[in-house]
Formats: sequence, structure tokens, C-alpha cells
Amino acid sequence: MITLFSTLLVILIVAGGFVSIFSKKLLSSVISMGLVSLGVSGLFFFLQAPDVAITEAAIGAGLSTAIFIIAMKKIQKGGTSDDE
Amino acid sequence: MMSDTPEIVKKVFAIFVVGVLIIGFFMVFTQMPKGNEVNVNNTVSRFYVMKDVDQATQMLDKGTYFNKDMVPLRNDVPYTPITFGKSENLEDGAANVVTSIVVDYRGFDTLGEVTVLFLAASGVMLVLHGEKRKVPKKKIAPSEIMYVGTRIAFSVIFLFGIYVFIHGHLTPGGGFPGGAIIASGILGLFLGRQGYSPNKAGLTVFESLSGMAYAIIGIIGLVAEKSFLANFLPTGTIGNLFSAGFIALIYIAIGMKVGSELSAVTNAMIVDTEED
Amino acid sequence: MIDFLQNWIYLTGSMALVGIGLYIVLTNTNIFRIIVGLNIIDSGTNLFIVTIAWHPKSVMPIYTATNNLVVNGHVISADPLPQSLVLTAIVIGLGTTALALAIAVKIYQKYGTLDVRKIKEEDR
Repeated sequence: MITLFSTLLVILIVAGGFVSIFSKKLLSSVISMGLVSLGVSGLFFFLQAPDVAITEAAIGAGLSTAIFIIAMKKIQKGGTSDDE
Repeated sequence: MMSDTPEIVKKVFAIFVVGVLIIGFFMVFTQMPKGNEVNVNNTVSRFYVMKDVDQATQMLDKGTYFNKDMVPLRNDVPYTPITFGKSENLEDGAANVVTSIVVDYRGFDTLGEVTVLFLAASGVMLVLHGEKRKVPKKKIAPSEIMYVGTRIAFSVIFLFGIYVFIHGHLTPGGGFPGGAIIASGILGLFLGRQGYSPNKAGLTVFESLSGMAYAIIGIIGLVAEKSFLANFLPTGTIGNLFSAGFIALIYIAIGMKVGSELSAVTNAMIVDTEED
Repeated sequence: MIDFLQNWIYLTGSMALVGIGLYIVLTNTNIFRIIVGLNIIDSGTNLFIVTIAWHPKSVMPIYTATNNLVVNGHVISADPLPQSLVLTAIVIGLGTTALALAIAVKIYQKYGTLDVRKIKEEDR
């Protein structure tokens, strides 16, 4: 059962990686990167590493994606601050 | 010039490089014993799990650890089984073995790692430094529900982060994920309020104090136990909240430090600045 | 087939992530996309390091009331040492990513573009 789940998660992260290669928009690239991090955190749980899984879920999937999107917003406005 | 090369040639070259890398990986994997069945009993991690590093080191010093052909007798270390909730006064009282490695056995490593994180955060603030242009405004102002909801959620998230880093020696988690959870709560406050900015001086003071607390705990270990970052408190019964000596103290320091640092990084990213 | 999946699926996933990240780094000129690729390589490497610490019959390295790590003098848990190294490497990864993004924002404010080739031409 765990083998089945982990196989599905590996398929999910590889698909997320391919989306981030072939997507034209940068935003979907970044979102699929967050999806890859979330899938990797699930794999860490199946690999008997709950500490690493909780860290990756909080940092890789949460904060890292958020910081990316904030920096992107900053660039698209060209420094004129009418959105954050 | 490289820019004249057609796009397709570059892609084929990239696929070639990636293919060579993957074939190399596969050739290494086939040499590994049966997929990934490693034997923990032949590595140093065995002593961390069994919590008898001191004894093994003493045997190494006395020379009884190796036999005649200098083959390590790793399975010959005498060992008393550890029972959850009963074993007392172990060498390291944390039930979570990963925590005991991060904070206790390899604490100096973690101190260096916290320093690297501090350097990265101060680099972000140095690069994005400048006069604050104006309070960033959202096109659509957040509604009352958003404002109240993010504040309630922040209190719950803050409590959960504190729970994660106080129980770092019993449950999965610890200072690093706890600090990251607190920082994501502060990120929620940014989203739910027009022109929110945390107290920057407060964050700096908090961060420096917790960093100093880490070093001071290490120096107390140096004075009391003659070794930097040594455990100077009784380890208690494995599985209790008040056990594992100084691990909870150090994880509280790390959690506060990481939380305030990541919040300051988020703040520096969000606030628009202007070079003076 | 199930034997192959049990032993190799994690290694295959980590390898695929490293390959995908390397492809993104090699074929894109936008600095942001390069940072995305580096982040994916980071995830793949962490997955690889945790994978080689695991074997199919291991338990998690935490003492609880029902989880015994040592049976008959033999350790049956996953290797805790690589896990602790990866735990800190993830946090470092976030710090370096934030630093790279800050530098990218500064580059955009100076040159008005994120394309590395245009930046190079403008510098000349």
C-alpha cells in the first residue's frame, strides 16, 4: 500500500517538474515548484523521516513559494508600489 | 557568438547532458547493495540510537574496541535496552534521536548552521536596504473578515509553532520548523491588513538575544562540564516533557531566532524601498 | 515489479528531480527560472540523501511507547544522521534562495530586465 502511494507521489512530483519546465508563465512554474516540494515532503514521511517531512512542508512548500511570489510581484510592478 | 545558436541545438545539448548525468547515477545505483538496503548496525548511527557514544569512545581509547586484525567490533559494545517512560539518566534523554543528534551530539554543527542562516538573512537586508518609499497598498483592500480572520489564525499558528519547538525532543519537529511556522503566521498578517509592518527593532533585539542565549548556554557547558555545548542539566526519564536537559532550552533559542529572522526576511522582501 | 518499486522508486524520483532541475538551469535565460531550477535540484538532493538512509523494513527514529528502535541488540530504525543533516540543509536552502531573489530584484531595478544575455550585452 505504501509502495503504491509513494509511486503515485513520485509520478506527481515528476509531473510537477515537467509542468515547471514547459509552462510559459513564470507563476505556474513557481506554483508547480511548490507542488514538487509538497510531494517530496510526503515522500519523506514514507521514508520514515517525520522531522524532515514537517520541515520541508513548512519551509519548502510554504515560505519558499511565498517569498518567490512576493519577489515576482515586486518585479512586475517595476518598483512602483501599488501592490504587494 | 552563443546567441546565434538555434534554440533546438541548445535543447538537444541540455538533454544530452542530463542523459549522461542520469546514466551515471544509474551505474552508481547498480553498485549499491540491493537497491537501498543499508545496514545501520555497521555505521556510527548505531551509537546515536543506542545512546552509548561515551562508552564506545572510552573503549576506542583503551584499545578494546578493535580486535587483533584492527577490525572494529561494533556489535560487542555492552548495551542496556532503552524503554520509553522508564529508562532514567541516559547519556542523552531525548526520545527523538534526530533531535539528540542535531542539538546534542553535533551541536557545534548546528551553531555554524544558525550562523549561516543569520548571514543569509543579513545579506537579504543589506541588498534590499534603502529608504522606505511608502506603505505598499493593495488594489482591493482586505475586508473585515480577512482582517479578523488572519489575526485569529495568527494566534493559533503562533501557539502551534511554540508547541512544535518546545516538544522538539519528544515529537517530530523542533526549532527550525517551529520558527518557519511562526514566520508563515506573520506572512498571513501581511496579507490580511493594509500596510502592516512588524516592529523591526523588536525583531532585531529578539533575534540577537536568542542568538546570544545559544552561545551562553554553550559557554555554561564549557564551564560546568569542560566541553563547549555539553549537557549540564540532568536528563531525567525518557519521554517526559521535563527531560533531555538543555535540549528544550536550545530549541527555544533556535526557534525564536529562526522565526524572527525569517519574519525579517519576509518584511524586507515585501516593503518597497528607494535608494538614497 | 513490486520489488523494483519498493527498492528503486525513491531513487528514481530523486534522480528525475535532479535531471529536471539541471535541464531548467541549462535551457533558460531568465534568472527567476534558473532559481526555480536550483530549488528543484535542492529538493532532489535532499530526497536522495534521505533515501539512502532508509531500508524497506525500517521504523522511524523516535522512541515512543510502541516503537522500539533496537530489537535483539540490532538497530532497526532508519539512519538518523543523514536525516539530521538534511533537516538543517533545508533551512539553509531557504536562506540562500531568499538571498538570490533579493539580488535578482536588485538586478531588475538596475538593468530593467532579468535576461542574462541582455544584461551581458548592456554591460559591454
